[in-house]
Amino acid sequence: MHIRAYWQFYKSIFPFIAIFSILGVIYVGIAWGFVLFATLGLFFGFLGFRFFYNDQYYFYYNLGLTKKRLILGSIVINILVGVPIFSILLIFISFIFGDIQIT
Amino acid sequence: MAIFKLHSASKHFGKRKILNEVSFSFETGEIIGIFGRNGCGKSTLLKMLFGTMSADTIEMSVNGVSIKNFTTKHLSYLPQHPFIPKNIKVRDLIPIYFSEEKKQDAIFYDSMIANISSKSVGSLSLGQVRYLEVLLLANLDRPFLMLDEPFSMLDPLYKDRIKILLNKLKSSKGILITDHYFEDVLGVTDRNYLLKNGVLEKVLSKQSLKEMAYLGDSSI
Repeated sequence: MHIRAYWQFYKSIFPFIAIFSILGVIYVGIAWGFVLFATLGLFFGFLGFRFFYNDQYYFYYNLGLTKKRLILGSIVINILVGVPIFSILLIFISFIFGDIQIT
Repeated sequence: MAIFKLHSASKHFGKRKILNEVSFSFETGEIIGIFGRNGCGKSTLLKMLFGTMSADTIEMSVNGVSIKNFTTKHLSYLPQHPFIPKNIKVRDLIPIYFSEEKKQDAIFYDSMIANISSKSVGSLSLGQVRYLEVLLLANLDRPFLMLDEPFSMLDPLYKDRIKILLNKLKSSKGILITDHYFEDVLGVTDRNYLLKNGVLEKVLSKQSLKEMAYLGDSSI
């Protein structure tokens, strides 16, 4: 299954996703921030990887992982990572500021 | 024993035909070399064989069985530029490639790797990274290994280590090397070719590399 390889790839694209999502949360709120995290954030993650680490694709190709597989794996991991992060963020903000509008 | 056959491969960029019905074969137990000037299509050929670059036409087989597109079941490929993520420690990298303990140990306890296993890949020298890359690919369960410039920019110690490793691997793998460091390549290969004008020509000796206008007068 190469779970470690998928996770390694996700760790490489996560900083790009995180930067984009933090900006999203700041400008459009938590709910839309999560939507951006799961959609455009991922897109920017792949774009960032392609721009900065393009040679590293061969690390994964040699394991038999195509770009398509890496993208699908990252979508799954991104949701598994994103749901708890945004849930904790929501609880944390609610705790500090009281009930807030999430959009 | 396994035999890899490239029956025919063609590729053009714009109006320039870079590979013109190139064909060759190699088998486990031998190392072959492909020379060629910059831009002649060596890396293009290797990427086409590996399946990461599209070809105009390509037909290849392993043991007579036709293979298409992504060939990682049969081939591993060392690209020209380092490909291991830099932000990872060597000891954390190995389990990503190998789940079996025996294979992990084969790399962990390699004399050149044992003392760098706690270092991050980004802090290693080019020679250490290249050696680690070859070692990782060598331990994958594939009968064929393609190496694009494995000796480039390496110090003599790491060149020697890679040559020793390749000679050891030869008993179980078929290996294809392209590199401009012709002395190093000729030192390990059984057969050699020159890629020129889109066609592969057989190289018989170092002298013939000069006659084929790959080497200059001062190179020999």
